Amino acid sequence: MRHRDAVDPLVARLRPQVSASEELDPARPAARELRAAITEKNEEPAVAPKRTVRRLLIAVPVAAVLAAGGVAATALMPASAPGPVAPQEAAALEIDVADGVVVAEVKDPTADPQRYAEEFAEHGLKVDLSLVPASPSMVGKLVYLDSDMKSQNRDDRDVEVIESPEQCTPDGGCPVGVRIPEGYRNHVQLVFGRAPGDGEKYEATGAEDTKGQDLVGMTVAEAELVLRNRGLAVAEYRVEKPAPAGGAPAPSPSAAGASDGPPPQQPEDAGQQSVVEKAQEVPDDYVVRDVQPWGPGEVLLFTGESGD
Amino acid sequence: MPYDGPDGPSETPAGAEARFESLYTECYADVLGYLLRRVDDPESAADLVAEVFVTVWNRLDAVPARGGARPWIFGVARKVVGNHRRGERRRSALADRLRSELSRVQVIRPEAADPGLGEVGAVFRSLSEADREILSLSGWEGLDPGEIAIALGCTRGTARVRLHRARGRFARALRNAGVDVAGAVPDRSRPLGSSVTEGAKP
Repeated sequence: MRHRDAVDPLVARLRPQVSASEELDPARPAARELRAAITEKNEEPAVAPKRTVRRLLIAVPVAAVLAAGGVAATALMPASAPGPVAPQEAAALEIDVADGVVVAEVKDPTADPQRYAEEFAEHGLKVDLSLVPASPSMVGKLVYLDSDMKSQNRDDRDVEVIESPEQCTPDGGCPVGVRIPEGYRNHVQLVFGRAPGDGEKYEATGAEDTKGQDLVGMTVAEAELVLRNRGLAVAEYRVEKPAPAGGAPAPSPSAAGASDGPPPQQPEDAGQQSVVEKAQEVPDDYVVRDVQPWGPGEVLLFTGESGD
Repeated sequence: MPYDGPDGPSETPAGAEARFESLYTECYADVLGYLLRRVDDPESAADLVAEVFVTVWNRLDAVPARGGARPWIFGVARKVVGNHRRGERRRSALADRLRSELSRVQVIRPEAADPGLGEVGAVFRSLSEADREILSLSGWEGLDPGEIAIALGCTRGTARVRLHRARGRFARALRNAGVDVAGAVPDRSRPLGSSVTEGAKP
């Protein structure tokens, strides 16, 4: 029996089924609102996407390791080391070849990512390396990879993700670097997690840092007490409320995307649709529905009225 | 003759918006389904679908014409899921409302309901991420090898070879796990027209 005859029906039977498939309808108000928001809030001309230069304040030294038979990049960074400010004329990266392994170490963590790119370019690679503030378990870990497989004249080879045996991401696994084939033609974008600077929020969070699920179901007052004992503060709240009852899918009330203000509330439609609003304070008897890491010592609480 | 620049003819802003709208309408349900099948919680699918379509909007000029668009968008979704699995978390303000709506969606894994499938599911999950992805692009999303090639960003020939190898590895892993492959497949689910088999080889 050919593999495809034997295997394909089994794969098909493993296909997870989405209940409530009407939620997948692009004509639903939430989906239409998202569509309108995308075209309105991302105004740059789609025909000529501008390359924004990301300026990152890098607070920790980083080393990227590039390995043999190809190139590997790994960020190795001490979580608590202060950021030395290298003179502007120094190389942003120090790239050495030893025992067939190319090692790139970030010498100037305050350099514009453009400078890393230029130095990778000297080694024939198109690599954008940048760093984003991350929760502790994601510091030094790869959080974003794009190997630009859509470009014309692309390189069909794969950029391979190097995993450490730890389990640091919510789905297990712990990507610490990539191995790029030698002479790779595509543009590679890499983002590694770094320790956040003062006042910065996490842009990457790992499984170990997503604590607080035990708070779900508590009242806000109870949860805040527990958080205080853990040395955590609530940075912001989100409040889930029933959406205004619209009956049949009416034109999305905020399809114009102009108003960030709360829509009028009509609680009798609870369970049909809901909206999430930002709040700096919520009543003590609201119930915690989710907890997310927000920044060092800070969490974001998703809350709602009790009774449902 | 007017020079359109290296990116070819440029679209008017209104044309771009109309094209985006039609891509969104055509692909939203499929992409959201794809995401829901691959993430643990439906709410994060809201952020991910927002990210996929922000990418589509920002790279509208790179989206292939006609039939190539849908698999291309699956390719974007694949990368977005990859980065999500790598721990990247972006709560998109654009998706706040959708997130709370999707929190009511349930994704049912057939293994949970069908005891006979549990072992098959375990073997499937033991495959490499690349093998699972190509098998599920074919078996779950219904992409043909040409479309898989677009989604994976490889040539059609490479896609065929990878799919063939992934099937072989899945069949081998099932055998090694002692799963009776033929017995695990009820006849009714075998597609019509594929009844010809090559016969058992030693």
